[in-house]
Amino acid sequence: MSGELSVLSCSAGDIRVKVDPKDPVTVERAKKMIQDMLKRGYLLAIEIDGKLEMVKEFDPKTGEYIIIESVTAAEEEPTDEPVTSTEPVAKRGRGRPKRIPMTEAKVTGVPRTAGG
Amino acid sequence: MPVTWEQIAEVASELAEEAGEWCGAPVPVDDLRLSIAPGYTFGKLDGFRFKEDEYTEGEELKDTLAEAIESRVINSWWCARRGGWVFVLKGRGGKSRHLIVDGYATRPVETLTRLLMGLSVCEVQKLDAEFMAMDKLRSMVKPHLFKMYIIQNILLETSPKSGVTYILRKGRPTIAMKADGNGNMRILSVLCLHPLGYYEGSFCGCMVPTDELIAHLIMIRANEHFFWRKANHHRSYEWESGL
Repeated sequence: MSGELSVLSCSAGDIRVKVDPKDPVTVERAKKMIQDMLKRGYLLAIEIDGKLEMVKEFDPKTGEYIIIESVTAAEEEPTDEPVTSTEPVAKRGRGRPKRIPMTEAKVTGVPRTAGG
Repeated sequence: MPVTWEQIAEVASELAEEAGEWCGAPVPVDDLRLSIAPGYTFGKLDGFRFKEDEYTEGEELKDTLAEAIESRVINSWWCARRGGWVFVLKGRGGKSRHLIVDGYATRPVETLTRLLMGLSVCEVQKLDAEFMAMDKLRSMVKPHLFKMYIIQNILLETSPKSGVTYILRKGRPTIAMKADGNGNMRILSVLCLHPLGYYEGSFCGCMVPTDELIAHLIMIRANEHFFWRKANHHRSYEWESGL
């Protein structure tokens, strides 16, 4: 299994790096790219189960992306209050950190933006 | 052997990558001023252009008008009902009056000017880059939507969270629409956002058009609030909307 890191690029259109755990050189290159991008305010979007989430941090020691997984009302710990709806509602500002290895993730980097 | 703008753009991007800017670097083109995203490493490029041109910004209309009629503009606004800008003027004698400038009559000229201004951007953008971006887009959307994009230059995306439908257009701002409850769709806003930066006075960004569209799509899917916060909001009747 290998991950993929891509960056939207001016001259190339899209730079892609396969993050193969058997290839330490590309893994190191990808780590440098991820750190460079986060430091410079790029948006890193990670694909999880067909959905995109924003990467909050990266741990270069373990090679893991850290995201804040949104917690829905349905997943919260039960309370004594009666449940009025079964619809999962995302709670703003709440979430739990989740670590995803870079060798298993598909991530796209978008540089800082300017409104036109 | 002459050096092409594409080659210059390639070298600029290689230098940027060495400095840790993996998105590359934009190259200025004739007459169009670069507007660069705040925080970009090569921020000095912001506002750069090769030579001054003579076209006047829309904002200068007020001054020109006031000068012409020896009056002072004390207020102005867009009137959707009249389809134009309403100016309230105060003359030398202190007498006030109003003037309506037909917005729809002048807009096609403005839009056409911007459209043609953007043609020079083709010199610095590579065809291969556009194909690479298309290839990436193909992996992100369903086949029938990709076909729609290639043939019609538009992509539809509805957010399951907000229910907002986005019409993403190649080389134009994204239109955000929502059903009003009576079966009609209403334009909420036209959202303009360029990764890295854009060429002022045109619809063109520093990246190839499909990359720009991918950036919109990623933001809509990953963090819609972030997209709305970062983008410039244009009203549908303004030339900037590209409608």
